[in-house]
Amino acid sequence: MIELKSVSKRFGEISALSRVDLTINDHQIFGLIGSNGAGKSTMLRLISGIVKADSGEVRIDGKPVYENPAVKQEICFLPDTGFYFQNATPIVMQRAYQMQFPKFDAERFSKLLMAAGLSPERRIRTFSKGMQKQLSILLGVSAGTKYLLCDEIFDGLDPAMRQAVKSIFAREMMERDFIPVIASHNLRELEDICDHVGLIHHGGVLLSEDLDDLRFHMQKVQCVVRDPAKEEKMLAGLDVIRADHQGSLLTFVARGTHQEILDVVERADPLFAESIPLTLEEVFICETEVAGYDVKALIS
Amino acid sequence: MTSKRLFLNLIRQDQRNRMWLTAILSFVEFLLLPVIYLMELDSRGGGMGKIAEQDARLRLSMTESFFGVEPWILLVGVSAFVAAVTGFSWLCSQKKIDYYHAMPIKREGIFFAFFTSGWMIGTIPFAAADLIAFYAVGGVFRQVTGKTMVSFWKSLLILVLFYLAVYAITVLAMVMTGRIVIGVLFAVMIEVYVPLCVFLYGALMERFDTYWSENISWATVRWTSPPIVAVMGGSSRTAVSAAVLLLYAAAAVAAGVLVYRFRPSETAGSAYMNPRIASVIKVMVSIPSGIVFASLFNNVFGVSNGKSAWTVVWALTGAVLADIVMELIQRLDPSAIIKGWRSALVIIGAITAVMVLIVARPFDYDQYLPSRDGIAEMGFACIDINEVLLPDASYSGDGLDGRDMVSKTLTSDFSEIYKLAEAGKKYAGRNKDQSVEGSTDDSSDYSSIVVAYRKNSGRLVYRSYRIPKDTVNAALARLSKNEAFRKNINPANRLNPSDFNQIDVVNWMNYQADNETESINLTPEESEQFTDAVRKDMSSVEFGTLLDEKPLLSVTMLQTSEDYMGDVPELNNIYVYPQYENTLAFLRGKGYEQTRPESAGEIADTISSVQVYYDTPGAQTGQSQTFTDHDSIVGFLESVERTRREQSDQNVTVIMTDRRGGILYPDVRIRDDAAFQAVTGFTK
Repeated sequence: MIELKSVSKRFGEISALSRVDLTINDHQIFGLIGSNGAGKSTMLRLISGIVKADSGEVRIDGKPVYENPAVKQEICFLPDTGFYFQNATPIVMQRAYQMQFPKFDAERFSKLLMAAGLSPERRIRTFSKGMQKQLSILLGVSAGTKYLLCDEIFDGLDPAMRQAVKSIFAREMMERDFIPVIASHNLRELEDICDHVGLIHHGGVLLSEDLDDLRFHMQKVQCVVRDPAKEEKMLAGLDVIRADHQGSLLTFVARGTHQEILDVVERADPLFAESIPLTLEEVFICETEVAGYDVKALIS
Repeated sequence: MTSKRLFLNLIRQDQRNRMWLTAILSFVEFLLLPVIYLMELDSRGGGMGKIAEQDARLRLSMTESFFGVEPWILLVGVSAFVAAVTGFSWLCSQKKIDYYHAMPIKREGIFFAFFTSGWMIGTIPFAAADLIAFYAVGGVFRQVTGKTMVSFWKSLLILVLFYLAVYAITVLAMVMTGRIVIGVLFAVMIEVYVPLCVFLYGALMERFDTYWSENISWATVRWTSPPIVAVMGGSSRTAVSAAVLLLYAAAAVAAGVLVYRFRPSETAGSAYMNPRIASVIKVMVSIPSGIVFASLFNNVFGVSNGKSAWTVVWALTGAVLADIVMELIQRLDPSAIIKGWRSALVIIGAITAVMVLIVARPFDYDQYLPSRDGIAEMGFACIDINEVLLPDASYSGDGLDGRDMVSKTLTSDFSEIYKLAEAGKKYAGRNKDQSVEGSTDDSSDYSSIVVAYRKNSGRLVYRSYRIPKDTVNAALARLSKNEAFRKNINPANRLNPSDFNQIDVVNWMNYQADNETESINLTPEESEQFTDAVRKDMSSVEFGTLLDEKPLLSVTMLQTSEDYMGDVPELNNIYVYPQYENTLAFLRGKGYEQTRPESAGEIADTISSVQVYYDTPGAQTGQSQTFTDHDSIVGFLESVERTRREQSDQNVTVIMTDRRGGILYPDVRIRDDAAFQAVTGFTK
């Protein structure tokens, strides 16, 4: 479990994180979402013990991470642009990672390399940006660490590779104690892989929720109710977050389970009513609008 | 356990990543040491066959000097710089910092892994090349003797420690900074800052003719610069130099690891790991830079016209320019210059304070002279002594006179010297304007002297003054009545008989050109006899009697043996006066009969032409005249007399060519103005 307790970090005059409290539990994929400059990378670098918090505590499995090799051995940090030695090949980088991480699975790395079509003997600087990113992820996964901190790893990956990465993560989670933390400014990339999402903005965490909880307790419904009085009564009986009319078609998002909401809608005697899936972006928009934020401006 | 394994693996990994540097250093060092040494040995004598005794001696001397510190100090220093900069350049990259700082190892572990790796990269190839050169190549050529081995191991020790010290200092500079250029500049600054500042301070003091002599001598500041310490350790005081170098290395490593421990990862790519360091370094660099700038404009370009105010302006301009350049290097943003206004103000204030201290001399701090009761001993030296005794007298702080001589003349019977110091104080103000503001008309009437006083507390203070030559000469005449004083200031004390095996005698009085000298070869015993004779004569003759005397001869001591490997003698030229009975007797014993002073006509017989240049005071251009006929030359010679340089008329320059083509530049003094004008046609 990763815990950030009242963590603040400044870079000169810029406050990157301000009194952040966040918990990342085991057995879940954590998505860290936020616009550029929101503080995502800083948070990952704090968690991986690269930078030191000005105040507050960063604990991994109950132990402080900064200058703690035993804890850092369980963390692999993949920055947005990976570092490879001059003229290095994947094999050279494998040796470097093996040196750092005793549980590095060389056999798995070879298989993954082969599957990704990356030559182990080719110089990395001749790889495309996407291929370098792939290599970074494969090294991180093969490191065998409990925590894999990924900063914008989906940038530059083609859709097939994205899907492959998601599969790899899923398999790793099934096979061992594996907790990926993925930071991205793109919600759509995270919604079908993450179990839990934290929204970070201006150095603070606006929201941290399980996606299933969010989706389970929030429904989007389209319906047509002829009687305006009944419609009004129906909406009054629901915890509506937002509602739009397009002609006689009413679309609304309300808190509650699927059944609870549909029961209320049925009582209004609609001509037509159906529940439609909420995207992660819509969930976020709804939640943050309630908190007074214009989330469209925060995430792309 | 993991950290220890990772530490070793990091070293191995860095060795692999910097294999190119190891290869380059190995190639260069193996080429320079064993190969060049082999070539040198092979070129001297008969190769590996029977070696003649002289060849063997030559080779042994060559071996000793080849494996000294000085030939390799630059190579070792540069490799230390390169190893440190390449080893820690990753501190300048955020990406690399993230990689290394995410590793499961403590900061100290990362630091020492890279430090050890870089130390090995530089030390092992050099030590291997040195050992192979000495023991393998030298062994084949029978150069490994007890004496050469001692010399070899001493140098190797000093060079290895020098590498360590420079390497550790550069690493510290790299850790404190965040860019390679700044790191390198900072490292250079740490290495030479103190000697440089002392040199600049001394130069500035001299420039303003401040009546102060450097209290911080090179003897003290030489320990502040590792290259100087290493060079000293190669020649003498090896153990002390080794200890000092080790101390430097230990201090730099301790500071480096401490700074690195607290170095924020996020400062990668910034010029400095902490903005406060930037300000301190800016101030430290800008002040000496301003002084260098002012010195350049004064001394090299000569644009200040001797005015103090301009020097101050140039110093301020230089300091501000240095500040701007450093801001640009640090921030890479011209608009950021404005942001550094606070440190700029400190720089302007500091340089103004330095200038006020040196130019305005508040409270006459540089002229302070305690009362007689507060002084235990006083000493005194001046160039006039050497000007009288030596043809090529030069004034230097540590040389034949200056501080070294002053310390030898310290005496508790100092009333005469105290009077000189008082005279120095008295003339301080007037003299300043003459020497600083550009008027040199009267400067030849003044002498520079150095006075030292040891206070009752034991503290030794040096002062320089410029006082009228007459006053100095009168004091010297009185002081030199004391035999102990004469012995102590005797420049012939510096003569080393083993430094010369030949003397060239010039008949100075009769305008003999240098190519007409008579050479006398000396056996080692004769060199000693000659040295004794000169020492006796210089000590026995009172200075006052020589002031208005003219030398008979000028004698140059030479070493003609090709085997000679010693230093060039400090003192190699003396005047011989008629009073030098012992020296003249020695020369007569060697068959040299000094001739009597010849008449102008006899001298003119040997001269084919005389060119005379005369700088008329206040005139834009000088006047010149060339005489080639016998009568004119006689007329000219009768209107002047040959003198020592300090007695001569500075505005008269004479070039004589003798009938064998020899050229002479004699210093002369006009004996008879009317005759001089009549013969030359020059107008005053």
